[in-house]
Amino acid sequence: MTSYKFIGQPIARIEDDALIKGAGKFVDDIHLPGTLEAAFVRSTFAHAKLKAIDVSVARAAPGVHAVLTYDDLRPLLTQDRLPLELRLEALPPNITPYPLAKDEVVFVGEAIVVVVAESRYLAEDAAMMVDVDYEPLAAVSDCSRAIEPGAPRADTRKASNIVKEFRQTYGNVDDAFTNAPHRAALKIKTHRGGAHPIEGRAVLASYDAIEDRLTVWDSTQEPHDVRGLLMTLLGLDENQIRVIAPDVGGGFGSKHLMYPEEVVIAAVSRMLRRPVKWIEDRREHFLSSIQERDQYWDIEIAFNNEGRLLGMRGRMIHDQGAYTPRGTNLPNNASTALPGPYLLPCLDLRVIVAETNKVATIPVRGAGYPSANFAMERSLDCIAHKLKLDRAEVRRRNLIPPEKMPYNTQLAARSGSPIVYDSGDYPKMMATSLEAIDYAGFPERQQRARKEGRFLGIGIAMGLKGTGRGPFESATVRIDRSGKVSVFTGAVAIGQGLKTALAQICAEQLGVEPGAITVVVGDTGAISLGLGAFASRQTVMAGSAVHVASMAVREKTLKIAAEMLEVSTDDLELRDGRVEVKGVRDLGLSFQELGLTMAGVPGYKLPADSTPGLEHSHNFLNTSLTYSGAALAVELDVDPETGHVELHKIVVANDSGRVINPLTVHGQVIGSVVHTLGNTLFEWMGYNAETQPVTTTFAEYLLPTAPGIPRIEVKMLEYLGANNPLGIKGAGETACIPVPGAVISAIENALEPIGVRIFEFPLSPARLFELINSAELASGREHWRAGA
Amino acid sequence: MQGCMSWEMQHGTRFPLHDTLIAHHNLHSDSCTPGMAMTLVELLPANTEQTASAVRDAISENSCRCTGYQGIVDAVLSVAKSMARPNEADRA
Repeated sequence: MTSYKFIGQPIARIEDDALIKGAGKFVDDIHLPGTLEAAFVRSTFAHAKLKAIDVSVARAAPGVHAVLTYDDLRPLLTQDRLPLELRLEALPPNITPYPLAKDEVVFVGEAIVVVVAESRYLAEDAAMMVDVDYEPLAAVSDCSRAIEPGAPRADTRKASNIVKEFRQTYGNVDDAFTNAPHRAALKIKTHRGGAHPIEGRAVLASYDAIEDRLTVWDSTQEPHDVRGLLMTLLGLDENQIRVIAPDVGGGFGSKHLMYPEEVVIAAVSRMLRRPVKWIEDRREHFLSSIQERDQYWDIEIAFNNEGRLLGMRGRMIHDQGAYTPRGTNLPNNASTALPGPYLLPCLDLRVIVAETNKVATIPVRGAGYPSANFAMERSLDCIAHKLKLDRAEVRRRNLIPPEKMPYNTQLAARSGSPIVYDSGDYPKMMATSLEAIDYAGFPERQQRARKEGRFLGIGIAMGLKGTGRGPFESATVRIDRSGKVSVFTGAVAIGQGLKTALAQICAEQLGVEPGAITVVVGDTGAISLGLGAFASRQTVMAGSAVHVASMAVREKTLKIAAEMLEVSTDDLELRDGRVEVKGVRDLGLSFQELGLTMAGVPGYKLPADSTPGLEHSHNFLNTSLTYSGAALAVELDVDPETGHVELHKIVVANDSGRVINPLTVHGQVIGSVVHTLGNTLFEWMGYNAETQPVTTTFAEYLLPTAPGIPRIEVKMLEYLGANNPLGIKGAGETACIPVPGAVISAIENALEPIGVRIFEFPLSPARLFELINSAELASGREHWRAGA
Repeated sequence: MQGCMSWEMQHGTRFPLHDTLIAHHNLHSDSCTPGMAMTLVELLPANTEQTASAVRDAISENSCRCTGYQGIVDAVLSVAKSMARPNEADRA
């Protein structure tokens, strides 16, 4: 096995020293002279016609520079609506939002008017003075109702509430069900709320009239895409726009989209020839940033006497929200993630993507996988329940054995390429988590707890995540004339420790300390192409690009130095920013000397007849995903008097392929688990019957906080990914996937004496209390007797 | 990072959590760090005998979406230990 000096080391992040001193640079930390601030007037109705908008009073308000409606904005743009992102997918026309609502509003929070003023305060004051005359229309709140005949249209400008219908199907399902000794039906509802990074969306646009250029600082996961979309909408050339994602305070999917606000702010800056800033507040994040929300899974499973799955069929309805700004990859991911690490001989799942009068959905961290995994894990628990088998045993019998790897699932990704799990030992992964939580000793612990009147439960689940999505990511590695090593990439740092990981990979080849390397990310001015931060892809894709480019720079540096020193490259080594002759102290060349030499002198040949510079650019190509995995086990207590769940212990066996930095990967795993604990137990994005959002503060929408979370134990497994040179797999989403399945399973297990069955998440104490009461009514068993 | 800076001004030394927060990998996106530091700068000198659950309670009003809180708790416990026994090197 290759031994590494920097790769695999838990080095402190190179990002952190500046951040902890408060020297971080988030969008709102950037203060350009003459900056104006914007506020938006947003729809208060879930669905209404816009009859009239009166902005005259607002325009006359103190400090106001501009108040624009759709009609005022349209002449500044080349087209009516925002372009569709993920545009290669076949979808109906007219599904993307307008930059400002045109004639109809279709969700509470849709931007109608922008007010630009000397300060945010003045802009908000003036926004209050805008008078919008609405004609309310019937709204569609629930996606399962949206597809019913006679349901009101979520958007009267469209022919149907159904955006798309598709099937995930392989094998002979009819035969499997006809011949199966057992069948069971499950009705499952999943719900995930918003992304809620602590820094919301943020944009500062500055148009330079002298240069006729636009610079946009944007808290985004996709600066290169934003540049391309602004280019289209504003009718500019690509080289007239620079988009910079500075320090980004988390994204979790919500910033993997260009929103109407980014277009409006850029257009208005160009119109006013002034810098214009808009910082999303928390209420706006609840109302206008994407969410993941509801899926209804009505599925039927067929299984044999040993508890092995024979097939699955059914229907999933996905709540798309009011617009489809970024294709339908969320329901597509969810439906293809359904089998996970388990052997599923055949599948026929019909997926209906339905519009509702709520803000649009695109993937949040986990990207549909946790919901699909929940459906699968509930199915396996159902088998265990029906056949009176141990839940771990049922999983053992259904897990894909290591000898079947690489495993072709018979499903296809959206690119059309087959979904193939590249590496991993899933039974061992599960065994690792079971051992860490002492699963074997649990029956005794549970018996003891029950004697004390406590309801103790254990749950397990296993998830896989397709990571490292292509088709490419870019990197340029350079030793410049100052001798400094720099890395430039189209990847984007949103808090994962990306710069440190890329510096470690580069340092490995060039022999300088990672902290001495400058890593430039998220800036379209630094590199021409890039795809950014999503799908747990960046260390896989940008890491591989940096690896290949660094090897090329290393090779060239050695070749030039060998020529200049008149030795063989085999006699040279790279160390601390120098190329040195092995074993001969002080005989060598510094990177600065080499960098200056390779910059050339007019009229003279370069050493070794080489091309100038010590630089290499590489776009790492890959269209197949690499599958990371996690097995999660949880032990908890339920109080049936209150519905309160007390988490005692959580262990995760996590495979992220080759780990570049154990410190950051460990942090990603813990953060990932806690994020989805929120989705499972706390976070509910509520809407009432009129589709008015009812959870728009953190007092109503509960994020996980420190006291409710136990210490999480991580067991790291390394099954190298097969599709990239270092064997890296993604880390930021994997461990979040099995959380709902494991936690709900543990709650059911704890409440076994009462007989509560749960087919939904999130599960608030109030909802659990309700389920406990109905189970007691149905069975005639009461918990104060059952527990004893 | 008002918390760290005011500590430096008052004590003439670096805020003790400075390096430990980094070592325990707490910053991630950094957007919760200022609030966390403000809370912890009050908590630590008042009580160096900390337990994990006391630290979790102390930061219960600070939301973080990245870290899952665990590293923050570890960092505080480790600093509390070294403040209680300042002569022992912190090996956490």
